[in-house]
Amino acid sequence: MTNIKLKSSDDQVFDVDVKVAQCSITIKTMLEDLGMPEEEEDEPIPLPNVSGSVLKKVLEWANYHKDDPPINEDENPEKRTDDICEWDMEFLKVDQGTLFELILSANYLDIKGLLDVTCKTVANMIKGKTPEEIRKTFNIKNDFSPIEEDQVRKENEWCEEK
Amino acid sequence: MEHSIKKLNVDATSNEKQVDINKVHKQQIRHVLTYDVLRIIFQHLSAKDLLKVSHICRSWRDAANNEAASRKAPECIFKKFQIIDKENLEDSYNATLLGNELRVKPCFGLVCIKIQEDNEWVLKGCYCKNLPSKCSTFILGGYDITIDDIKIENKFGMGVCAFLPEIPKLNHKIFHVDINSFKDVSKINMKSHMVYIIQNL
Repeated sequence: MTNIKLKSSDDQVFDVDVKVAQCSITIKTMLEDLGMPEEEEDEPIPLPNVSGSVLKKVLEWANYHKDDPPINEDENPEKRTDDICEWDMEFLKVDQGTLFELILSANYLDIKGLLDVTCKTVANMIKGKTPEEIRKTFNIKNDFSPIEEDQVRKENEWCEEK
Repeated sequence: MEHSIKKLNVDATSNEKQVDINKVHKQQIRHVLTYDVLRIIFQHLSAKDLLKVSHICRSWRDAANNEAASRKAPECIFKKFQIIDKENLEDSYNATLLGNELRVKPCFGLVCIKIQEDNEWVLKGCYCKNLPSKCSTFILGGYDITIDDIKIENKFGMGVCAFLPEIPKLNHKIFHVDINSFKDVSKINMKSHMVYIIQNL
């Protein structure tokens, strides 16, 4: 079992099994380009966009899912959101800031499975809420001008139809 | 335009009960969901939810509109329809929730339902609520439903629906066919019969 070192934005170094680290396509590509580390003293791979606390969570997820089969897009064209496994649900019981950071890190590190499950979680937070409730949930400011607001409302008429 | 990164500011302090000052400070770092990430999130929303999120703010609207524009394929659903009232076949099939599940805003729908052999089918049996008012939906009743050459066995109320999304420059025309013109249809060639209908549109 080979280990590699990853360095977070706040200079925390993680010693990780290569198989776990390669859940990230970004890291996998880097390793392929740079070649596998030969010596234990090799420089850690810097990940300037990921903080230590988030990287720790990401690696925890990757360690649990390291043996998952690759996701086949064609198999699930319906984009279901009710198929999140129990472990992931428990894992994602975090505050919204952490959830968003996980999404952005999964996007940057190119970890399809983690990106998928975190985005599904956000989609589930949106479903069944009114626009006002959604704004409140995600703390978003309505930045529409009155004209734009009117335009959007017109396009939205279908929602109000019973 | 799809590649331009649009940023959405979202404040992470959603937990009002937070007392730890350090933690509050840490959470006040503004988190942004990029355009790319919003697009991935919105892939999981129905057409109705997608319209709803376009109501939130400018960056969400742009991501939602582009996601909606990318969905142009017809949508097919196989589902169980509820039987509301066996006595009154006119309202017997409940497709109320169809509109909430669809991933496209439909402009035309076709619903094929298996009916019981001892019930006379009433053409007015369409009961698809929650669809746009401009969406014409037709229900066809039949004694069997076959999908991919597999006959769906004897399940009263199972239906197959197909919905066309709104496609610019594509119109559909609804025409009335005299029921009498279908009499003796078995005696003549069905194909020439259809050609006759199309020619008379």
